[in-house]
Amino acid sequence: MKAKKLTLCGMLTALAVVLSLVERLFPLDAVVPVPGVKLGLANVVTLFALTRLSVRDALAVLLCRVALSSLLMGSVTAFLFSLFGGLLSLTVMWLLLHAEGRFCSLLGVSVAGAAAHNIGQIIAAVIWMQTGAVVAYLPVLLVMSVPLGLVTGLTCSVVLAHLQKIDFYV
Amino acid sequence: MKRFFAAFLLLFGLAGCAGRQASYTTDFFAMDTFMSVAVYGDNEDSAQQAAVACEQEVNALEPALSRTREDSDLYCLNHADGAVCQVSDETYAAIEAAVQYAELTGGAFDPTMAPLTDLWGINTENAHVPAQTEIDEALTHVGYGNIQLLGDNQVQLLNGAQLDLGGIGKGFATDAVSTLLAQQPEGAATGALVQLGGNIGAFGENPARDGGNWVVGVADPDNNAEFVATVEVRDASVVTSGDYERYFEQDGKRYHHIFDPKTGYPADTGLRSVSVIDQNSTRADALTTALFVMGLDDGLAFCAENNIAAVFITSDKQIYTSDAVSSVCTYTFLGAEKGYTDAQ
Amino acid sequence: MRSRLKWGDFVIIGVVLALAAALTAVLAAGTTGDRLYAEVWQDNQLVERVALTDGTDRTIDLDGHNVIVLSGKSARMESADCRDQVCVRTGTLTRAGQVAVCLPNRVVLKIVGETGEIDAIVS
Repeated sequence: MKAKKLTLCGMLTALAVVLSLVERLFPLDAVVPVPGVKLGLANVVTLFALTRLSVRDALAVLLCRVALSSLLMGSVTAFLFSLFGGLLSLTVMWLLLHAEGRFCSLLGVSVAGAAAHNIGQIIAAVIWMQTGAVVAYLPVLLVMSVPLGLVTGLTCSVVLAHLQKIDFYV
Repeated sequence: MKRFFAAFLLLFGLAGCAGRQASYTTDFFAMDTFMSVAVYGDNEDSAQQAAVACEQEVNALEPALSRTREDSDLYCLNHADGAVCQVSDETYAAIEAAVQYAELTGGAFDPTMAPLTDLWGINTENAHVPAQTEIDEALTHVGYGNIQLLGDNQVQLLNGAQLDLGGIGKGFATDAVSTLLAQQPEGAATGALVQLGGNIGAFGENPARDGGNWVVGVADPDNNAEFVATVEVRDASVVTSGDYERYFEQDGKRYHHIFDPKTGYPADTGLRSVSVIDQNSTRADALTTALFVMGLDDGLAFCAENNIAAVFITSDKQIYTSDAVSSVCTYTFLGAEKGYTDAQ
Repeated sequence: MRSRLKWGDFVIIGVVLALAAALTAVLAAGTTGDRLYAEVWQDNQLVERVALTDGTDRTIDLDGHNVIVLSGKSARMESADCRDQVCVRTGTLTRAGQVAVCLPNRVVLKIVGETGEIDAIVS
C-alpha cells in the first residue's frame, strides 16, 4: 500500500513538473511583464492529490514539484513565486474541499485555487521586488484565473470519473 | 519536514534582504552654483561618507579653479602682470586641459575670455552692451596662445591675458568626483548622480530603474524646468550650455553669456542650447561652449570629425543630434508637444 | 461527475471577479496619488517639506526674499528679490527631479518623490 502511494506521488510530481514546463509555452510575459509569474497549470495535480490522497501528500508533491521545476529552469524568483502561489492555492483548495459537494463543485474549488495561486505569486513578487507596483497586474491575473480554474477543475473531475470506473483506490 | 521548512524560511530571509539599496543625498552651494550629490550604496553610512567626501572634494577644488577668490592661484596669476607664477597641481592640470580643448576646437572654446565677460558685466548690476572700441580693446588680450605652460606647475600669461576656468571648472570637478567615487570601498557607492550646476555625472547603477541606467532630461530652452528629449546614460557626463540662463536685455534685444572669441559679442548662431554626452566631463564642458560658438553646421561637422555625441537645439525649434549620440546613449525625442521638431 | 455546477461555484467566481474589480478601482484611485513632495531649502537647511496633492494651495514667504507658491501638484518660485531671476524664470515644477535655484539667496525649491520619467534635467 505504501509503495503504491509513493509511486503515485512520484508520478504526480513528474506530471506536475511537466505541466510547469508546458506553462512556459504561454507568452504570459505579454500581459504580466514580471519574470517568473506563471499560469498555474500544475494546480490540477495539487487538486487531484487533495481529493485522492491527503493534505500531507499533496504538500509533499507540491514542494517537490516547486523545487524540481525551479532546478530545471529556474530563477530564484520563479521558485519563490511558485512556492508562495502553490502553498496558498493548496490551503484554499483544501479548505474549500470540505464544503465540496454541498456548497460548490470541483470547478469552484479549482477557480478559488487558481485565484489563490495568483494572489500568492503577487505577494511573493511584492516581497521580493520590494515594490507594491506589481499588484497592478493582479486584477488581470484574477480574471484569467476564472477560465483557467474552470479548465483545470473540469480536467480533474473527468480524470476522477475515469478512475472511479477502473476502480482505482490508494 | 521541519528541516525542510527551516531551509525555505532561510531562503526567504535571504530573498528579503537582497536588492535593498540605501542612499544619501547632499545639496550644497559651491563654485557659484547649486550642487547635489546623491550616492547609492549597500548601506546608508557608507553612502553618506562617499557623498560627503564628494562635497569636500568639490569644496577643496574651488580655490584651485576660482578667479574671484583672492587666495586663489588664478587670482594670483591674473594679477601677476605677465610674471611667471607657481600654481597647484590641480590648477595646472585644469589649465592644461583648458588649453588642450582650446586647441582642439580651434579657439571656439577659449579660457582667456575674462576681459570680455567683465566688460559686458553679465550677471552684475551694470550689464550693458559695451562700445565697439572697448570690445576691440578687450579682444586684443583674448587668445589661448597667450597662456604659457612652462612645466613644473609654472604658468605665464602674456599680452595682459586673463585666465578664467569657469568654462571647464564644473566639468573638472565632476571628473574629480567620478575618480573619488571609483575609489570608494566595494559596495559603498554602487551608483551616484552628481549634479554640479549644469554638469551632470551619472555613475554606476541606478537602483530605481530596470537596467540600472540614468535618465537625464535635456532642458527646454523656453522653460528649463521641462525637457524636450531624454538621454539614458551610465558612467557618463551630460553637460548643457544654453543662452537662456544668464542673459540681460537691452533695447529689446537679448544678450547671453556665451561669447564668440572672434567677435567679442554673444555667439549669434541660431542655437538655443548644445548638450554634450561624454565620459570626460571637462571635455564635455568645454565642447558645449565651443559647439555653441561654432553654430549648427560647423558644430555637427566637428562632432562627426571627432566622434562627439551632441544634441543641438536651434531657435527655430529644431533638434539635431550628432551621429555619435546613438552609440553612447539611448536618445529619446519628446519635444513634439512643446512645438519642437526632431530634425533627424 | 463532480463538475456539476452548484450555486457556490458562482459565488466563488463572483468573489474572484469582484476582487479583481475592487483592486482595479483601488489602484486607479491610488495612481492619482503618486507621492510628490516640494522641498524648500535655505542655506542648506530644509525649511519646508510639503506633500503635493490635488488640493495643495500654499504660499511660502521667506522673509520677502523669495515667495514660493505650491498649487496642486506643482510648485514654482513666484518671486525673488535677487538680480538674476533665474529661479523665477525656471517656471513651474511638476516632476520629481526638477529644481529651481535662487543662487544669490541660496534658496532651493525641489520636487522629490517616486522615480518619474527622468532622474535629472541638464540645463
